[in-house]
Amino acid sequence: MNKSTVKTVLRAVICAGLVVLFLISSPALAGDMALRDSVVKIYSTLQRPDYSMPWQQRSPSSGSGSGLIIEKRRILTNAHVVSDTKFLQVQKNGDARHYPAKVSFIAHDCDLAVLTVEDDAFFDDTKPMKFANKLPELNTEVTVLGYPTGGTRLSVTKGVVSRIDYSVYSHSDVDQHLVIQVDAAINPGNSGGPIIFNGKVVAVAFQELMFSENIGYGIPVPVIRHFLEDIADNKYDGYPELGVSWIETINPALHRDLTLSPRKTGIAINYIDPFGSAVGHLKTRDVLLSVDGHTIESDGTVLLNENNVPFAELLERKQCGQSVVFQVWRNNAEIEVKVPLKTPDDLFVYRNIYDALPNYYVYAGLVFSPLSREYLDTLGKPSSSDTSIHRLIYYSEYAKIDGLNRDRDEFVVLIRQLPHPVNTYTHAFQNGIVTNVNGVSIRKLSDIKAALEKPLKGFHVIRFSETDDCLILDAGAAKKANDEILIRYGVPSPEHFEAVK
Amino acid sequence: MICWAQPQPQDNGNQSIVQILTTYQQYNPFVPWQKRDPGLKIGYGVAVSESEVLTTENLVRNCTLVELRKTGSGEKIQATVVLADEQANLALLRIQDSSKAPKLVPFQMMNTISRTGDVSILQFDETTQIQRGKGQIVQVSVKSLPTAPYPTLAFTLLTELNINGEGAAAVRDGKLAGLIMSYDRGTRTGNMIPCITIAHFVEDAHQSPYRGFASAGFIYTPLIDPVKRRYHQANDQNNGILVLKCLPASGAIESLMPNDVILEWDKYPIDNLGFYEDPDFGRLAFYYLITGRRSPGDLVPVRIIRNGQETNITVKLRRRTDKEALVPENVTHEREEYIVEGGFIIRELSANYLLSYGADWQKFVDPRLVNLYLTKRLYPDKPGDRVVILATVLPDPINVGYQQFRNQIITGINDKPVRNMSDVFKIVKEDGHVLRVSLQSSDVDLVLDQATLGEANANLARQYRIPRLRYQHDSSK
Repeated sequence: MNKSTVKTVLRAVICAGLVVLFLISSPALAGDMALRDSVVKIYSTLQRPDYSMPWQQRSPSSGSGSGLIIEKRRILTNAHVVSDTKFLQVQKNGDARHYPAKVSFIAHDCDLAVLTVEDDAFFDDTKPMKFANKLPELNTEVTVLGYPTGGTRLSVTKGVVSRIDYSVYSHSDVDQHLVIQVDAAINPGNSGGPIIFNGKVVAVAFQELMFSENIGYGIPVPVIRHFLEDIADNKYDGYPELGVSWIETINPALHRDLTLSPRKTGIAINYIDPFGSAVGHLKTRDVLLSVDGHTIESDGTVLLNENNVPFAELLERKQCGQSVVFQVWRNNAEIEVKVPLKTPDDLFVYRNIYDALPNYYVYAGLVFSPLSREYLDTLGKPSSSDTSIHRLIYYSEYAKIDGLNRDRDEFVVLIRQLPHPVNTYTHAFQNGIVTNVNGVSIRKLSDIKAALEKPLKGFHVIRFSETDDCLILDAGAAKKANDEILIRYGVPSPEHFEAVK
Repeated sequence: MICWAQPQPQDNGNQSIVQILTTYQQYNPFVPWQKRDPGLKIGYGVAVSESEVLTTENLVRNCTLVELRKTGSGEKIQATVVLADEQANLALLRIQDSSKAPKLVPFQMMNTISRTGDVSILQFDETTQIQRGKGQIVQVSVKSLPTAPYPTLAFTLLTELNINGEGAAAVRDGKLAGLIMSYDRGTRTGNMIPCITIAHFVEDAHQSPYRGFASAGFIYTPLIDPVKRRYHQANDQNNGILVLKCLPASGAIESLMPNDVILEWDKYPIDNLGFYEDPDFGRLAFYYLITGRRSPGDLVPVRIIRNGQETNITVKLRRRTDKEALVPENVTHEREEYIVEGGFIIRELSANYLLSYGADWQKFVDPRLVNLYLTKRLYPDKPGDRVVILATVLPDPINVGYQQFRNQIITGINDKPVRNMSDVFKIVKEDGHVLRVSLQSSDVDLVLDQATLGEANANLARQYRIPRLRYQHDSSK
C-alpha cells in the first residue's frame, strides 16, 4: 500500500558520521543479551547522485548502522543503512576487524536489506537469530540491541511495545506497512538492529518520530518474513498494490445509495489506479464486502486476532503472483472477484529513489530529466510566484488521479540551463514539463533526443505543459554549441538512459 | 464634464484636506457568515467638492463606518462611499449630512504633471494641524497597486516627511498633483497616484454608468530573443511583443491572435520589452496606453505582424472586472456566496479564500487548487465558469463518513453539473436541498439523507451559530 501524503515526520536512524570520544564500559548482559554476538555493526560509505546536476555525484559521506545475523550466513539490516553505498563493511562484537560486505537484496519499499560477507570466517562462532512466530502483545517488555550513537560498543535499551500500527515508512516516504512502536530509546545507529522478546526477534529497529521522546519504530516480523519469502527465489519483486482508493460507507444515506442491505458492511471504491492490480477486476462504485473471507467493516477495517486492522494488512501478507478474493456488491448483486496481485510498474508514484543514477539528456545546454521526488527536493520551498514548481508538485501528486499522465510514460522536465549564447533567452522555461518537441509528442526522455534530430525549418520548437509560450532554438547553432557547452560545464556525457527498476 | 464648486489654488490646504478614520471589518472566508474583528485605518482625503472627498480605495475597503476630521478640530463628520474602484485604488466619499457639516473647499486639480520636480505633501500632525513636507519625483512607472494586482501609473517620491497615512495630498503650485498610496519608511519613498488618473476617475464617477479603466484582455511576452524573432518572422525590426493568449470575452479575442507580434499600439511603437515612449512621462510599460490614455469602449489602432505579414487591426477596449475570472481575486474582500447544507460548506474558490490560509497558503492548500489558481485563474473555459468547492464539512451526525473532505472541487450537485454558485442556488431552488455532491476524480458521490436534512440544518445552524445557511448576492439585494 502506498500513500502520497505523510502525516508524521519520521526519521530513519542511520548514524551519519562517527563521534567516539570515550569508551563506556559495557553493562552486564543477561537474558536476551546472550544474542549479542549476532548483532553486527555496519559501516557504509555512501554517495548520492546530484539530481540538479544529474551527471555527477554529491560528496561521499559515511554512516553506521546495525544488523543481525540470520540463517544462511546472511545479515539482515535496513535498506536505508546500505542504500547508495559505495563501500560496505561489517564488524561483530568482540572482533576488531572490519569485513567487506555486499548487498545481496534490497527492498526500498519495506526498508529491509540482506547482506553477505565475502570472508566466511566472519560467521565463525556466531549464531543466526530466530524470528518470533507472532507479534508481541501490547505492553510486552522488549530489548533493543544495536550500535547507536554515544559509544562504540553494543548498546542495549529496554522498553515496552506501546502500539502496533500501520504507518508510512520514511525510507520511501510513500509505502505504508505494519510498524511496532516501542518506548525504548532508539537513536541514530540503531537502524537495522533487532528488537527482541523471549530471545527471538520480533522486529528490526528503523525509525523514530521526530520532535518527540522515546517513540521508536520497528519493522515487525510479518514484514520481515514477507521480504525473506520474496527473495527466496533470488529476486525481489516487492509488495503488490491493489491500486484502489475508497470511501467509508458508514454514512447511512450513502449506504442506502449503494443499495446495500442494512446488515452488509464494506467500503466503496471511488477510484482505480490504472497501473494497480485491481484494473480489469474491480470497478468504481463496487462495494468490497469481504477480503479472503474476512468481513470488511464500513470503515475499511477487518477483525484480525481480536483487533480491528486496516483490510490492507491482509494484502500485506501476499506476494506478487498470488491472488486475493473479494466479495463485491455490484449492480445490486453479490459476486466474488478474484484479483491477481502484481507490483505496479508505472513511474507516477514519486517514492524516494536509491541505488540509481538519474536519467538525463543535455542538448544546447538545456538539461532534461524525468520528474522525481529527489529533483523536487532540490528545489526547496517554492515561493508563491514559482508557478512551474507548484505545477511539478501538482503533477507529482495528481498524475494518475487527474489523468495528467495520459500519453506519457514519465514527466520530462527541463531542469536547468547551462548558460550559453545559444540558450540565453530560455530561462523562463525552467521546470517546465515538456509535452512536444518539433511537433513530436513526448512520452519519455528518450523521445526528446529523437525529436531534436528533426528540426522544423531550422528551428527547434519545444512546448511545455500548461504554458502558452514555447522555447525556440536555432537548430544549427544548437548543434554546433553542444560539445562546447559540455566541455565548459564539465559534463562527461550528454545523456544517461537507464531503465528504472 | 466635471462640475466642482469653484475650486481654488490653495497654499495651506486647511479647508481641503481631511483626515479619514475608517472602521473596517472583513468576512471570514472559512466561516463565511461571520465577520472578523473590526479594525481602524487612518488616512487622508482631499475635497473635490463642498461635500465630496477623494481618497484611496484601500483606505475605505470593507468600511463599516467612515468619519472625516478637519484640521484643528476633533469633530467627526460621517461620510459614505459613493464609488470605489480597486483597479485604480481610488474612492469618492460624500458627507452624509452636508447641510449640518462645515463646507469643504475643493482643491483645484492639475491637468497633468511633469515627470520631474518637487511636490508638497500635506498631512496632519499630532495636533491635527497641516504638516507639509517636500517630495521629489524620482521615477514615473507603471507598477502594481500596493494591495491589488492591477498595474497603474505611479510616481515615486523621495521625501523627508514621515508619511503617516495613505491618501495624503501631493500639491504643486497650490493645485492637487496626486494622492499618496503607499510609503516605505526604510527607503523614505512613497508612491503617488497622479492627478491624471484621479481626473479620469472623478470624471467617470460623476457619470452613470461608471465606465472605469480599460483593459485589452491579452497576455504577452517580450520578444527579445533574435532566434524567436526570426521564428515569428519579426526579424526586420527590433521592436514588438508577442501575443500569447487572449482572455475570454475580451476585446482582444475578437481581433488579436496568439503569435501576433504587436509593433504599434495606438500609433506608439512598442519596443521588444513592451515599453513605449510616452510624450509626458517618458519610457513606460504599454499598459498605460490602455489604462491611462484610453477608456472602455474605445477602438484602438494596432499594427501587428501576423504570419509574417504586417497588418493593421483595431482592438476594442473594455472594462474587465474581477468577476470574469475563473478564480476571482476579490481583493476588496466582498462578501462571498456560500451555502451550508448538511454541514457541507459549498462556495466558489477565490484568491481571497486561498490567502486566508496565510502568506504560506500554498503549503496548506491542496496542490490541485494551487496549480489551478496559479495557472488558470484568468481563463474560464466559458464565461461565467468558476470553481465550486466543498470547502469543509462541519461535523454532524448527518455527514458522518464525509468529515475528512476539504477543498474538493465539486463537479455536480443532485446529478446536475455545476459551473458556479449560481448553478448551485438554481439547483437548490428547484430541488429544495443539496442531496448529492459529485467531486472531481471520485466516482462515489457524497449523499445526504433527505429525511433528516432539514432537521440537521437547523441543528447545524444552532450548534455552529450560523445566522444564515445560504448567502446569495442577488437574493440579498
